[in-house]
Amino acid sequence: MKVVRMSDELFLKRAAEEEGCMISAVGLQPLHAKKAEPVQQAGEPIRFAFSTLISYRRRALRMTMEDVARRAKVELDELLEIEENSSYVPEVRTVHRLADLLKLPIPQLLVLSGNAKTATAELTEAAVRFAARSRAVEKLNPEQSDALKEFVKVLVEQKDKEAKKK
Amino acid sequence: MSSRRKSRLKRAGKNELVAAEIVDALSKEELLATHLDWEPERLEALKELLDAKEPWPEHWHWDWSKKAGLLDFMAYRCMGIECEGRMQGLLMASTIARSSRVEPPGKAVLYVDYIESAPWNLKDLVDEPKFSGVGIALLEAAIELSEEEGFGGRIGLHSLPQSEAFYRKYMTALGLDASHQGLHYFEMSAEQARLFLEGRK
Amino acid sequence: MAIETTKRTMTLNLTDAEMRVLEVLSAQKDLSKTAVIRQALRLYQLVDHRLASGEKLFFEDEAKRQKELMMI
Repeated sequence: MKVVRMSDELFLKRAAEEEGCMISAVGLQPLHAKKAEPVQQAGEPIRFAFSTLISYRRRALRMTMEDVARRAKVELDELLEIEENSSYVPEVRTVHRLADLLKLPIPQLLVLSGNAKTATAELTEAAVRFAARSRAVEKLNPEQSDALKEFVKVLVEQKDKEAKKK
Repeated sequence: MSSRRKSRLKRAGKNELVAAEIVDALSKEELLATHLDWEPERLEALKELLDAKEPWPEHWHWDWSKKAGLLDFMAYRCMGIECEGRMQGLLMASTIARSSRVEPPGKAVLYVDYIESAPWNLKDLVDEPKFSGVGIALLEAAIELSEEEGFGGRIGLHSLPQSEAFYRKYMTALGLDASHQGLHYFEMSAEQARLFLEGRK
Repeated sequence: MAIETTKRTMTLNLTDAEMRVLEVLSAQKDLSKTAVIRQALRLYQLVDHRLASGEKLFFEDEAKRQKELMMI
């Protein structure tokens, strides 16, 4: 079948509509690949802190995984991976949606999840402390509750600090 | 040695066509040279995006020498559109057919792995973009490649969020794809390709 | 407007069974027989390269949570 070339007139019209817009499309996954490489892998305690943070925050808000999956419109099996597999790097969109639902600061969450560049020293230290104090149990005990509150406080402080820098 | 064929772009802000050329099969070196050429303007834009705390396209961080290595394989083809001595846009496609999710029963689709306009053509990055129509010209080239491969003009791609509005005009939106970082998957059927070239929606 | 400027012709000797497979794939995918052979060549080149570098090829059924190694 011979390909019809677009007329100059049509091209001009369409190009005017496109003017200055982004057209980027990105797959670049060879047939086998399922997940893209993360920008930079966070260290072990940071990734563990991310898994635990999501799990604890969810429980502190008294939501089941199904609740979170439904309300944040994320796949339940991805949420399972996030909470139970600390080496799993979730998709950026998922992190945004969880941050929205669980009311956690997005930039710091992107760093903790392994999707953005390395953490500041304060964030790393806070993540390590949180990871050390956490255990994977169903209900948060007062100690875990405290650990969670303190870590979230640091995340929010970091976010405010960075906002003030601008 | 790549072959070249005539194309055109529109000078931004003017109702004027400018002669351009589609470079049919870029080599690894030409792909890398293009990214090097785009880098200074990209870095400038990156600084501003960082200051504004805006997200930036992750692929700007990629190790392009690895991606360019894909051109060692017949399965990948890279095309570019050159105008006034510089590459204005790039496209990389996989010529191993994917299955259509639009036309049963799974007809062959040319998958566009990557498509991008040079940073100086984008109004989000520069005050006065240079050329427009890069997306239109590259989609046209992709359709032609799809035809050459026997895929009937069908193409598929995953759009970055900022580009969804552009692809929605000409392709079928098939939803966010969890296996591709949650990016939106679009497909153009053979019929849509014909209409795209002929001017009807 | 051809992208490839030179093409060479070869004769393929296939068994009846191989020819049938080629015809079925061609019909299923709405591709010419030549296009099917070109697809096979591209896939083979990619797969062969990765296997040669020591990687393994798996099929995965996410629903059944099963993975099967392709012995090539």
